[in-house]
Amino acid sequence: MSNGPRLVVVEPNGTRRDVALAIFPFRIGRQAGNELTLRDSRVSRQQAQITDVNGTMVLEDMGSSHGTFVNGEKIIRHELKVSDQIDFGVPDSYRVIYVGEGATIEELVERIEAPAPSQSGPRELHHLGVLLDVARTLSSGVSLEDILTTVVDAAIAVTRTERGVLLLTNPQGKLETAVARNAQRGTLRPEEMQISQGVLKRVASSRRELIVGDTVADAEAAGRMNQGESIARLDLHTVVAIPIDKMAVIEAVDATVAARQSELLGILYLDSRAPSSNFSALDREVVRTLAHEAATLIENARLFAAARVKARLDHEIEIASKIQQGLLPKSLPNLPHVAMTGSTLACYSVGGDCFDVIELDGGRHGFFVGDISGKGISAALLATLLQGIFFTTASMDLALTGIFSRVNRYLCERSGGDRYATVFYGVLEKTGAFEYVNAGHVPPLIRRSSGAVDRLDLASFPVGMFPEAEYESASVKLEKDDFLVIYTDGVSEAANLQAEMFEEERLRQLLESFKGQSVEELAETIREGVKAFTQGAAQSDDVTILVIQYKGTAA
Amino acid sequence: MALENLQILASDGPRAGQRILRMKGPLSIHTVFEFQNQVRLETSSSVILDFSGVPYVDSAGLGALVGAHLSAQKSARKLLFAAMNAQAITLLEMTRIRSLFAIYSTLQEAEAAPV
Repeated sequence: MSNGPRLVVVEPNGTRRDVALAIFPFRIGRQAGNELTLRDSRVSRQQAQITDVNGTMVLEDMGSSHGTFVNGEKIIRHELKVSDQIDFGVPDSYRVIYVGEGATIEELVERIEAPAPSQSGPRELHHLGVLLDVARTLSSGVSLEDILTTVVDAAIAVTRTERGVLLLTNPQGKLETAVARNAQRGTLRPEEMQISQGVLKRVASSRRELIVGDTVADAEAAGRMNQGESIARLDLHTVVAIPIDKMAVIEAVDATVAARQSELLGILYLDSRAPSSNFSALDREVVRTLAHEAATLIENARLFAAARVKARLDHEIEIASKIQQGLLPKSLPNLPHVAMTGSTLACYSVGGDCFDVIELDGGRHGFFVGDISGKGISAALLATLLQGIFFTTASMDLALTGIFSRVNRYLCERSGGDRYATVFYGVLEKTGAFEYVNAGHVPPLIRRSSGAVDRLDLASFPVGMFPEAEYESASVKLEKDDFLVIYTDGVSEAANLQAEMFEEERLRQLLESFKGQSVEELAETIREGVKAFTQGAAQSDDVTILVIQYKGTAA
Repeated sequence: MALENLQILASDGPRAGQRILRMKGPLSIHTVFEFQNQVRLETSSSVILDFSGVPYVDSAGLGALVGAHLSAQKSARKLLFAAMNAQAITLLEMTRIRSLFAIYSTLQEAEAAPV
């Protein structure tokens, strides 16, 4: 918040803006180029202006068509006071509220003087409404607690009670004291905070306000409700307790039904030992307005807090996604005897699929594709872990089956049993010999140079499922211009709008009819084929493809 | 598959000690909790999972089935799988789990199996 004088501009649709009074004369009107341009054809081009006269803000009407009004009264020249409301003589138009210099909510509230009973009227209520309007706009820079304290102070002032307590329901649904104030705008000490629990219980369950004063009718009502005793014990003469509902009771068509259905945000409680004068109908209305305002403020603060939490989480996921992308092999080698390309598309920003190409000695390459069960963040964490373990273990001089046994035991011990992964790993020699282990993964396909499609059939259990699982390896021979396609079930289970799945058969057909030459072309053909099939249906699983072309030994 | 829902109807089987869990809806990451909660409640010696209303089992669903199978084994109870569709069977085959489970093509065959 800046320290200079400020205005709150309330647009016809209710949106509020905070505007600094920094340039003088501060011209207000329809004309573009004014310090405050109001887009309303009924407002004059030069409607009014504000000048700084020795530190006082002076508002002058500039001969406007409909006149300039402050707090409902037409003015020609007016020295602005904090919370003055300016409007322009036409209904449903802009309103401008003068907020003053570095005004705190407390300073604003000091301006509310408790109206004497004879003076209570629509104007005082209006004045209060204006003040709370301002509070809501300024609330972006002020803590919710400060604003709620103001609401309670205002409630005490208006009702001429001695104590005001605002209770809010915590996430478990219990009422907790949020603000406790006395009539001198101070906070109640702990020993001063004893209030009638009976009244609170009654209001919380009935969801109707409870007003107990000194009238005979009130006393009878109190007696009937068994509150009489607790109120008498505390020596109270006046008790006001208003439920703060998420959906304001005064706006509901059927108050009883609405109250029961809406969430109880809290209770505004006021009391006094001094016998009060009649708690008038207007006072009742004022307090309800305050409770309504409090509800809006609390709800907005909660939504704002929730939005901030979500924004932070979204940011964290974005970072995780970048890390995961960084772990993918950056560029896959294109060598005389082998070419390769790979891609993965996560269903959410982070995914449970992973792939890697591991360079081994003697011109050999290890190809790894993994799929952690499940999706999203937890799957992504395990996928990253799996990729790391595999890389390290595969670089050691172990038999393939030994690698899988180790990885399996590691995952079984650490994943708590509810996560497993399907993994395919194979090693391609320069000669084209290919040894592999398939731990429960979708069987890869080989598209032979003749156009025929073979499937790698041997399968074992996934990793991370059974600690004692045993793994088998098998070998095939790749010939010149054979393509090996390793993929995850995000391809075969890609669904279209009719809930049909892509399935291995369609992939086979796609491979059989493939006429291209390079791994990039084949990978793109597969991705396009899946996209065309799903016809825009939402992606339901991570999609990963690793395509390898064996180019034969150099002549 | 945004709003996935799994309903499970539990009833007694035709023979003593037999219970049938009729499932309607996919067994997926969105519905495994329902499945696990329901299965945990069963204590009879033989529980038949009727998959005739299950269009789809995903990787998380498979994990839950394996978990249920292992937990039944530990307490010396039987878990039978009836009327699984081609997608589910393929998933079981691909992961070599088909040979571990007691699988029956129809509910009647599962009901007739020794308790």
